[in-house]
Amino acid sequence: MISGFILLDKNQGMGCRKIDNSLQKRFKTKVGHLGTLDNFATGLLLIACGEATKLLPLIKEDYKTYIAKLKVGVATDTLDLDGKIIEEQQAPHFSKDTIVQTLSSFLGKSKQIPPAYSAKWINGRRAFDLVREGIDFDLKPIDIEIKEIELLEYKYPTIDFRVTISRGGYIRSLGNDIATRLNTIGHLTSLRRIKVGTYDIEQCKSLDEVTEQSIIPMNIFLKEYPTIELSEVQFKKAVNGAYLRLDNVTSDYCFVSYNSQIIAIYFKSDDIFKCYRGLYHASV
Amino acid sequence: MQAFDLNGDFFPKTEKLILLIGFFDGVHIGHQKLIQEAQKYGSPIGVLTFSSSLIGLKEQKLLLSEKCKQQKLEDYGIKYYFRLNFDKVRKWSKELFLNHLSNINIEHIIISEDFTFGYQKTGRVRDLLDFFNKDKDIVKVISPLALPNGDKISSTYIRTLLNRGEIEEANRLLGYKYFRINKVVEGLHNGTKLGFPTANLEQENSLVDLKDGVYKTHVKFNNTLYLSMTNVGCHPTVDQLSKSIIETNIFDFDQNLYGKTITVFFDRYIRPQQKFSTLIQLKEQLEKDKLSILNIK
Repeated sequence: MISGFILLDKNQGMGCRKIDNSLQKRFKTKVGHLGTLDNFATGLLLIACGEATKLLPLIKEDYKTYIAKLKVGVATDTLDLDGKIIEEQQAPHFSKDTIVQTLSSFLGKSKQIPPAYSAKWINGRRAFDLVREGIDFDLKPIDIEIKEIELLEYKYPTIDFRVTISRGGYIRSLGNDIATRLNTIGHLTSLRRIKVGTYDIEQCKSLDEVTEQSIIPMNIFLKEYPTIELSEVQFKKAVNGAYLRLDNVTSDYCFVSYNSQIIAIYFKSDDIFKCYRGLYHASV
Repeated sequence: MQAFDLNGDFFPKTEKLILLIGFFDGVHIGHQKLIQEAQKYGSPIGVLTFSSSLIGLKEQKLLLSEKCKQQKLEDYGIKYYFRLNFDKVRKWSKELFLNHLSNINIEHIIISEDFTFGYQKTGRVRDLLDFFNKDKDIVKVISPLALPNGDKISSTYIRTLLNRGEIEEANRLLGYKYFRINKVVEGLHNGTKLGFPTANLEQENSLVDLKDGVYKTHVKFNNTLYLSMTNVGCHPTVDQLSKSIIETNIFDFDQNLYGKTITVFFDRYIRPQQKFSTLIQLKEQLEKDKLSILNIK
């Protein structure tokens, strides 16, 4: 079974789950992704194949960077261009200065109301399902932090900006909030994710380009964790998930291998290492 | 924008323009009102202003450096920028000044009703009207923007607000966030030792003194905006300096800024300068300051 990570550049119009399914067929192994992108959005999608799906929680993705296009003067129900137009007005012309100042007011920590058309769970149901059924509900504001923001271009009526936001923050809501602070309405006409943690769009391949060679081995992708080659005795323990005494390992997590085959990932607990997840299939 | 440095001996040929005259320090909302008024005519706008040796004469500090003022005026759509050497023209009588203005290809001159000109400010709006408005209303007079107490909005008043740390009121009257564009210079690295490395701004003595203390600010570097906290002061707790400096701690930022130019925008005054008895107390206070700044809406 193939295991490892893929850095994919998602194209517009395709759902993330569809991408997973297509790769699942291509590689005949389970596939999952980290951080869903809306159908209309493009850019960096981090995908895990096979055993690597178990390592998704270990990936540092506290901050993500996006490039967005906000069209002012037109509001849609989904806050993006896939939605129905619900309001139109003549948006004022802004000076670049006004826009930059408005963007700067979002720096730091704040509360954000997620879009109604989002995958948030409300009493066990998805928010977007409830909206479609016409059921009223309240979305709780979430805590977000914006670390960096930049005005890239302003060509009336479109504002292009780049933003680095904490995990869980919605750029559709941010776009809506920016429009509100400019005393107008608006929606996103494009959204591209260019960074997740330290991973960059430059490293990504399109869905058509992805081959088996594009799959990055687990221990190379998570290069902050060392890989320790085990003795035969240790290997037999590791296969069963037993504790290991590993000397000279300073990091909190480490991969363990036998004959260069990844067996598991271990984590430090006091002076002993415990199995975090087994990554080994006897058939290999 | 085309900029001209003039000595008062001639005036460059231009297309017909709407002329604004004044020092325009800070390009505040009062100035902006004049610009908006000028824009109504649809013709290119020129600003006649004076070189800043005026500061030396009046011992008056500026809100914006010459370069920033010019940039601001360009942002507001000014097409011609005439900078008259004040040393050469400050003794001109009002008649001489009016004669000089008549060399300009003017469609309209827009001034506020408290406008004065000429040596010892003897020239008044009346003189301009008598000189220019014989056949046509060349000179248009508008009433200046006023504060609720009736005082007009002036650069001097905004300087006073900044001296007093009333940054939010100053920002309101400026119509933008007060900022400094400066090079980052080497400091004493005391901030780094405390876990709050700062970018120290090169000093610009001609600019207004900001009240000592800690400010919520944001920084623009390579067009990207970052939240930061800025200290204006002379380090009373460590290595006391003879003069206040401006230094900013950019949140979650690890690029080397030495020799680079950054813009610091002042959002809010957080607290006055304080002398702490230990460095630990100072560090604790800085941590509190950062937390409160991060959470300010």
